[in-house]
Amino acid sequence: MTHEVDPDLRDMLEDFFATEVTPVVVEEAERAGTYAADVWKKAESLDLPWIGIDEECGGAGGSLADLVTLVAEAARRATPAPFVEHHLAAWLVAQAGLDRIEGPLTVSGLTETVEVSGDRLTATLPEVAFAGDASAVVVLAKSEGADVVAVLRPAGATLEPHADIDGTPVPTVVASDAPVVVAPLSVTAEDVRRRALLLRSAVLAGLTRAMFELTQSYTAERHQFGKPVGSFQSVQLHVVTLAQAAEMSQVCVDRAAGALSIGGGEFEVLATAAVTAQNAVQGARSAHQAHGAIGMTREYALQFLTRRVQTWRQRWQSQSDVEDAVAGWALEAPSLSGLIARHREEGVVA
Amino acid sequence: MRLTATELSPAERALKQEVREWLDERLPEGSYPLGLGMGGAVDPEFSRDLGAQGWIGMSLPSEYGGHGRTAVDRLVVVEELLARGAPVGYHWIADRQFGPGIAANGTEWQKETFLPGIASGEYSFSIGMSEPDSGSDLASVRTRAEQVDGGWRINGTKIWTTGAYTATHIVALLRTSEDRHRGMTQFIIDRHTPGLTVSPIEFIDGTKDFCELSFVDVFVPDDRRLGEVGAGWSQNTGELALERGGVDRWMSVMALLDRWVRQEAQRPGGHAAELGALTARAWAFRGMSLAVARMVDAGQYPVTEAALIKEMATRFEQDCTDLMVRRWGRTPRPDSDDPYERLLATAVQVAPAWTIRGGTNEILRSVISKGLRKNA
Repeated sequence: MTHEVDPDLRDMLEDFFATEVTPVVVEEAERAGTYAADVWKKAESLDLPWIGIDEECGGAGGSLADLVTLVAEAARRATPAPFVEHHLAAWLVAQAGLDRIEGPLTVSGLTETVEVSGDRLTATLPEVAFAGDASAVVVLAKSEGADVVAVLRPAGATLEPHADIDGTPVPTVVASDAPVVVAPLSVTAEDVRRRALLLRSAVLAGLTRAMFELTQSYTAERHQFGKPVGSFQSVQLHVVTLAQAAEMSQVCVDRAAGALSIGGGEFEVLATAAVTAQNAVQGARSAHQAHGAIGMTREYALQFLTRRVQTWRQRWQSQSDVEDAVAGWALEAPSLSGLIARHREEGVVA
Repeated sequence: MRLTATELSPAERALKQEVREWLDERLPEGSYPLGLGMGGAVDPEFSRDLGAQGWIGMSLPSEYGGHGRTAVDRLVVVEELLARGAPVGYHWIADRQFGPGIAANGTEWQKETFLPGIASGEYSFSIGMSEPDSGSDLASVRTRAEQVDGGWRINGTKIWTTGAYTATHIVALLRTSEDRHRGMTQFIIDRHTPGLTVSPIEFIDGTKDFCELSFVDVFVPDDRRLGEVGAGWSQNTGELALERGGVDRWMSVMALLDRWVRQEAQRPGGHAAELGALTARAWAFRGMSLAVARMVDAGQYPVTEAALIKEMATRFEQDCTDLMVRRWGRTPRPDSDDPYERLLATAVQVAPAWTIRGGTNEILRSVISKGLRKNA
């Protein structure tokens, strides 16, 4: 009954990202306004971006537990590459029964309704992460009322450059009567958004763990008043807050992945999104406070993490909308205690 | 540290359903005084009935009246009890920690003597740890047990001992030598032993479960010594995972919350985001407690994990209380006709105790910090 995260896979991913994604790599990608192409190529050679896509669809297989582990480990090193976007795009392609498209892919249409007519798309797609580097923008769209996938090649569109708080290129993609490959979707738009919210939570959990680790080691090394600052109780408080946030977020993400993988899981994913965003924001505050001035500088790695917290905390859905949605579950449940202690079996609430 | 996510098995879910159905019959709404989690009313009759169902001392070996079940099974049972504000006060401490404590550290005679009474709900245990000059600094306890012919003579004072007045037994941590940590030993003391005087100390809300224990030349036979002489501190530390990581650390106000959410549902234009944030965190704590219970069942001692949960879960209980009071519309009255309003009036008074009892949050943070450094 335990959601086993494959420890070998986790160790491998931990080593991979620790080795490949140095602060220099993160910094260079941001300065260049692009993604870490070398890291991505190496990840491709290990099939990592295809974890969580069924093998018969050209993926590497693996469970949702494996996928959230990949996403969290990438986030833990602030990896400037579209692991989340690529997965969602590739998953949409697979759910539409289309052939595998070589990546990196990116995704759009998760926050706004995009209408496609026939095999032509005219739309302004805001904040499409890494669109300039992607081989295709996979758009969750509507066609004659039905949920469809529309695959847009960058050549058919123009990009207006923008960057996010964490430096991620998020251009606006403008398609004007652009040719697209359209296919009906076998899952609902809600399923797609739920998966996206779970992956956002996994990113935040990975960032939170990284902020904890960095803060713990820094407060052990940094000396003031003749001893490590971590020996002061008021500084320990911040480290404890981060440890709590990291543990809680990770357990929630793993449980939500389990719930989603057996069908449904909407409450679990929403609750996890609420918790991981709160924890990441609180964690970033504690991490900065414990670091003092050095954490405010670009030359120190904390900012790679805390700026990503600000980007991801409300990606695709605002924190208050998520919380409202969780409240909706509480208000409709026969009891709060029953809701939080429910367990799912083969997609049915037990 | 990495907690492993876990869910209930089909058998555990079936137990949950069984408990729920029994409680619907045994404790219909309005038939019992509503309690705040582990601070539920003292009702020996209810404890005996619960024991007869096999739901006290569940993890104890069956040869001593227990049921050989798991920490997760116990979690399943107690979360149903706490959600209803059930009268669990009489058996709570025995069930949570001294049943397992005696099973782990007791002699054969002690197991035969005490465990069946714990499992049947007939025995009520109380924790004799704090002293007037030893609160958070527990290693400074001074109440002394001196070895005498056939046993021990105890002199000193224990204080802030919840439930001692109605308990049948007290497990006291006593000084047996000057060695700070290795000079302490646990004893199982009958509540009515000559020389032991139990005096209630009125609590902030006017209740009298808090007690002072005065020991004047109290004789305790050596067969009441729990564990080796000098092992008290480490035994006590081992109990902390049981004491701190459980659902009782975030469910004190669950009965109130259940009622409050139903009330909010009727109210248009509520503050949904606050309710959503609270619900999400309650679900998160529940997942963490479950993970800790699985670790206990796997033979681990998740002392750091338990402290980490308790430190934030008790603050969460206080936040929930504050939110309910803010949203109540007026200050809840202790003499209201509505039992939930009375309970909320109690909760708002006693809430500060939640981050103090069982290890203050300040102590817990230093326990967590040490644990994290060890794991780093």
